[in-house]
Amino acid sequence: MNCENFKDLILDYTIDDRDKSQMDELKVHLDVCSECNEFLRFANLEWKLLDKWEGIEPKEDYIIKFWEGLNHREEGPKPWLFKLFDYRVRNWSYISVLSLFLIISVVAIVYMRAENSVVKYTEKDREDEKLLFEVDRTISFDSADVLEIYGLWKFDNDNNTGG
Amino acid sequence: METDIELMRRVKSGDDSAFTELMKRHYKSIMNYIYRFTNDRNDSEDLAQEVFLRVYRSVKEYRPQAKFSTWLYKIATNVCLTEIKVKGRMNKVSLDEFQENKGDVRDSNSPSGYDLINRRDIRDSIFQALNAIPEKERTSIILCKYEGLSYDEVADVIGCTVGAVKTYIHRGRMKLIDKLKPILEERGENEL
Repeated sequence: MNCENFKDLILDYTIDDRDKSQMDELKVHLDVCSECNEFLRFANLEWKLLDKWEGIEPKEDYIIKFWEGLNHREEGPKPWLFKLFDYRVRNWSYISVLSLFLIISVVAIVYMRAENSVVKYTEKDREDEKLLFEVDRTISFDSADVLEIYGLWKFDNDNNTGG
Repeated sequence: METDIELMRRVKSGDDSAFTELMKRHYKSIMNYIYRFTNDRNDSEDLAQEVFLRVYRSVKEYRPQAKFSTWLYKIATNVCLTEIKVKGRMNKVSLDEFQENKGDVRDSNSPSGYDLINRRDIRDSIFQALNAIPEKERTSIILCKYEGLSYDEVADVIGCTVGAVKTYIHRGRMKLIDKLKPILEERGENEL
């Protein structure tokens, strides 16, 4: 066996995957080969170093999260408007913006309606009103006299016409 | 105590409490397995959820030919590697950064071995070194070292022979030794 074969054995040795007959051969080789000795040292260190990367613990609610996630996926996608009110929506800014928009709209509509209902009575309106009264009075007084210019009412039997 | 296969039969017949029991048994190890690929707690949590979701949905197709845990690791491996590929495509900047970091770890002549340890903790160094070796070598080492699977079980998960698994682990470890040499030299036996 050459050094490459012994290096394979060294890697097995560090994982505790050992073939006893080959291990004796390896020990003899290590007594005389500094390169393989060095490799054995690094292989041991590397296998120990990997242990230094510790694992992690799952969060406590992983089972609840799973069943919730499953139900949510089976419900399928909701229309976008419903999504805004979904309790899972963490971004409250959407709801805030929508509420603000609704409030502004309501205030604007109320203000515009109120403005239309106020009638301002100006000096010009007062003059127009006076003029209208005068015209009305004039027409009322003149109407009977005005009719007299046409003379008495005559009925023509032949032509069936008046005047 | 019921076996995993018996629990899966109950799940198949509509008993969700059996699936909860399976999650209690295997969730932590699957999450940690994923964690060795992602080095990110939140990603590991999300992907572990995804793995169990796939298992739940494919319960009807489950045939108890292999160990349940082997099947689970197989699904987890697929989910992880797919996610890594997608993220790799999406995040090219991170990949470039990673390549630079990889150079730091590998360069055994660099005088910055001591600085390296100060700059980055061991966890990140191991993650980067593992990330820099081929997929099957990485998967074999993680399954063998961190999940305690036998060569036979690793072979089932990655779909190859036991001999191939041994080769993957040997090649991968050779590369890891090379990449982690600056740390190993600095730390030595006393600190490990």
